[in-house]
Amino acid sequence: MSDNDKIEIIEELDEKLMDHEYDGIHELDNSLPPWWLYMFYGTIIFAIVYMVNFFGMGSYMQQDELNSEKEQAELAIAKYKEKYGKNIDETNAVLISDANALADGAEIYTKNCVACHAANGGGGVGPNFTDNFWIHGNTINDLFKTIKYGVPEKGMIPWESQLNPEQIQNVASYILTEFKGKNVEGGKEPQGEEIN
Amino acid sequence: MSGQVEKFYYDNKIVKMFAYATGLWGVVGMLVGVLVAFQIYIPFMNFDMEFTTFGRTRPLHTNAVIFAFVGNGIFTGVYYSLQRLLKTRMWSDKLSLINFWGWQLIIVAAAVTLLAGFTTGKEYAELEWPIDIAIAGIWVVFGWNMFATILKRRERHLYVAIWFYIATFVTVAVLHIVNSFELPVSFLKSYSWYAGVQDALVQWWYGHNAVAFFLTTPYLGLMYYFVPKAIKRPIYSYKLSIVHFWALIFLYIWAGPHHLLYTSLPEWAQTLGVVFSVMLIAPSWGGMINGLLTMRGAWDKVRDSSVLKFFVVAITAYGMSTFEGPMLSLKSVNAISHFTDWTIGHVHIGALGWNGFLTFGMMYWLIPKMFKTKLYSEKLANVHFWIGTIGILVYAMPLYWAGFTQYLMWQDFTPDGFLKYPNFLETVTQIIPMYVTRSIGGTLYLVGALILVYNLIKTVKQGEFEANEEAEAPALVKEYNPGLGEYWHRPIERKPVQLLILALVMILIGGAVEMVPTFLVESNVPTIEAVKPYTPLELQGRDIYIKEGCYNCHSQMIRPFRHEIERYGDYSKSGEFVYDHPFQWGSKRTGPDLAREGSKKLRKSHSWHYNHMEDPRSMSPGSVMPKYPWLMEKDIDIESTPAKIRAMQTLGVPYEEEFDAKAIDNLKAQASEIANELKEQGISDADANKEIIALIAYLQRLGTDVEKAETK
Repeated sequence: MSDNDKIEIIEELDEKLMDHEYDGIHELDNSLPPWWLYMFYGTIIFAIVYMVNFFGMGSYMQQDELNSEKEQAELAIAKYKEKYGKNIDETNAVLISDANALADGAEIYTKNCVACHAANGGGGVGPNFTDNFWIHGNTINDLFKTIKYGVPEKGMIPWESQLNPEQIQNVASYILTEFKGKNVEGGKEPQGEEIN
Repeated sequence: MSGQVEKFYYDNKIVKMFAYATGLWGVVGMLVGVLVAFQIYIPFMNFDMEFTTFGRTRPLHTNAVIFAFVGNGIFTGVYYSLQRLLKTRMWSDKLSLINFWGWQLIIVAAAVTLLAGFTTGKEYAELEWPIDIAIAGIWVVFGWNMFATILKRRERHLYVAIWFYIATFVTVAVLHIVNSFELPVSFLKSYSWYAGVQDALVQWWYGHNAVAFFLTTPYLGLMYYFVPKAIKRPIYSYKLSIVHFWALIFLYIWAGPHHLLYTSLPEWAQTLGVVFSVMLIAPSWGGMINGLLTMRGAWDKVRDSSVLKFFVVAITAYGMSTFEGPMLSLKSVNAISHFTDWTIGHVHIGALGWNGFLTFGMMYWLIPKMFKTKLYSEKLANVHFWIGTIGILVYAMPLYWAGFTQYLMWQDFTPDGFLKYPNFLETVTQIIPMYVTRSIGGTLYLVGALILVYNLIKTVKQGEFEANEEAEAPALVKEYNPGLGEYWHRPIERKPVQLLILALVMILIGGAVEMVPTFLVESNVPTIEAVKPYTPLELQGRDIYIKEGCYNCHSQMIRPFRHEIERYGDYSKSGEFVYDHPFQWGSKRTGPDLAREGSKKLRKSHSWHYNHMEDPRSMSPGSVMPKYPWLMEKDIDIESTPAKIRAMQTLGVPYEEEFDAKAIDNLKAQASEIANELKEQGISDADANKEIIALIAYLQRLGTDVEKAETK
């Protein structure tokens, strides 16, 4: 070990220099910093309290937390619906002609439907909207229902958890207004029964 | 009473070799890291090649950085410091060389097999069984060499660094062997011995303690050697070393379940994961305090030394991430962070800050020393320091932001009770700017590492290497009288075997308490009657899912939160995973959860999946998922099916007897059914022999068993 490797001792800091060394490394006999020690004790107390709560009192159970989360949400939703009267479903849906609502429908269609039904409504993975053949009916109520609950066995997912009733009504109205009877070129072959 | 002074030589050559390997693999690992950072938002960056697709490059990055870069960093520092702390040469030069070449061969084998798609599907333990065996063997060579060196030492007591090395050796051996229990099916394919919840527990007991005993304890040992050497000041507190060492290794091993909070892991195990993680703050900070306070009285030196600057930031990053870790282990915080980029930000504070910077500091100190010269350019080292530091910040900050943003979007409901962002993709495109920034941060960090390589090559060129460094020390004599008033911990410091055994006992306790009941007590995994083994085709599909590394971006674990249930269906139950060898819960959602992908709520048509795998953007415009065109070209490995079925039977999956003989027919029947449906749906070139068919079968199966039970 060369001299410039030697440790530099600072008297006032190194009063507690111990008498061992390893490859020139010395150690001080300083005590544990009190704040560190109290922090350690603190976390141990936290651990004990937490475990007593869990193992002893049955706190923090996941199912309980979920139930209360759901309860609170249901209350809030009920309140909101009461206030704004948003209770559209497949029995009372109506064909909307309002331009804003149709624009909203168009936006929803572009975002969620074109992958399977094509931008011009001619279909692809999913059926063609522009011919006169319909698998699940062509009234606004039929479309509302098909969109809401989907046709899972054919790969059409239920949209009720993704679109609210107003949005379903808007996109159904858009489909019927924009595509019905347009018979676009290159559309998918007819499926379902003919409805005029 | 001291022995005769003996002359001997330190082996610097092995240190040099490991140091070069550290530099080489560091750059390679970081380069792949930068590649994956770009791939995550530019799907084309896989160049439409299976070998360079995210699902394979991401495991390559993590394995390269952990085991190749940090692994060689450990060996570099240990081989240098151990000889000097024990006043002896390594016991066997031959074993040193076997350790070196064995490890490098493992790394090369790992890189080749991971890119080729051979993986066990368990994070940071992806390597297949022959490589696992090689790792165990080489690790034992390392431990053997280390221990034999310890036994022939000329220093009576073991310094704290060596306690950490010993704990590292013994714990990594235990972790690796237990987690790598797997049943080989062929030369490079095996199934995890454990299934579902048990596999998850073992995996994260391993995964977390890979962080603890591969990235932390050996590096604390290096810190205890290189920091006082570089700053030439005594270690702040010997007592603190003792307390934090034992507390750290005892508590760390319990913390694994914090990776599985709110999953199907039994809640008592989660609770242990929470409290033991919280208790880890102080023992971890003990290391930080001892590192930083050792610099007391010499802070002015830090201003002029890049080595010390690297050390200061490394230790500070260690303190930050070991405080953040316990916070992330609180269930309420974990509910936010889990599956998001917050976790990725967190680990990179540790990886880039702690491991990276400590390695850089060590290299800048070590190379000039061994080459008997000064660093070629202190100025360049400073540039590296600043580029690296800024790189870490530019890397991590956007990821914290991304994690938070994505969580907020996932859980947001409209007032009438609908998910505000029902399309998962919206929550991904939102954070792309953060991904872009992150990739810039990563690139900066890589540039810093390249500067280091240049600077060190120049240093090596101007220096003169001394392969065998002369030293002398008195031999140890047998009789030893410690005298009165000896510190209570001193005796164990001169008994290495006892220290090893004590460390082993300490780390076995936590693992045993968590694992034994999870394996033996049946109520921990309630069975679900409707859950049945996969069909042969689905099993092959699942193997493709694993091979393509889908778990790197898709979880299969729905947590019991309102927003996850709304998005994916009912939360996952432990009984659903009993035939999953290995489990595929994942740890990150760059794409949506797939646990119930086949359920009514989420089910898409076969043709949707076909089109989506061929080009994700055709079905999901704006998606960042890479294309998988080779799935339409490659044949299913049908011949392997009977062996796979038999392996599953060995693992306890209840296929009927002699099902292996019928498996191929069964597979072909299901495959042609799917291919026919695809044709009906307009995919005229669907071919029943191709991998895509098996993958579709698997995806459509997910989450359907439980659903059938409900409708009955």
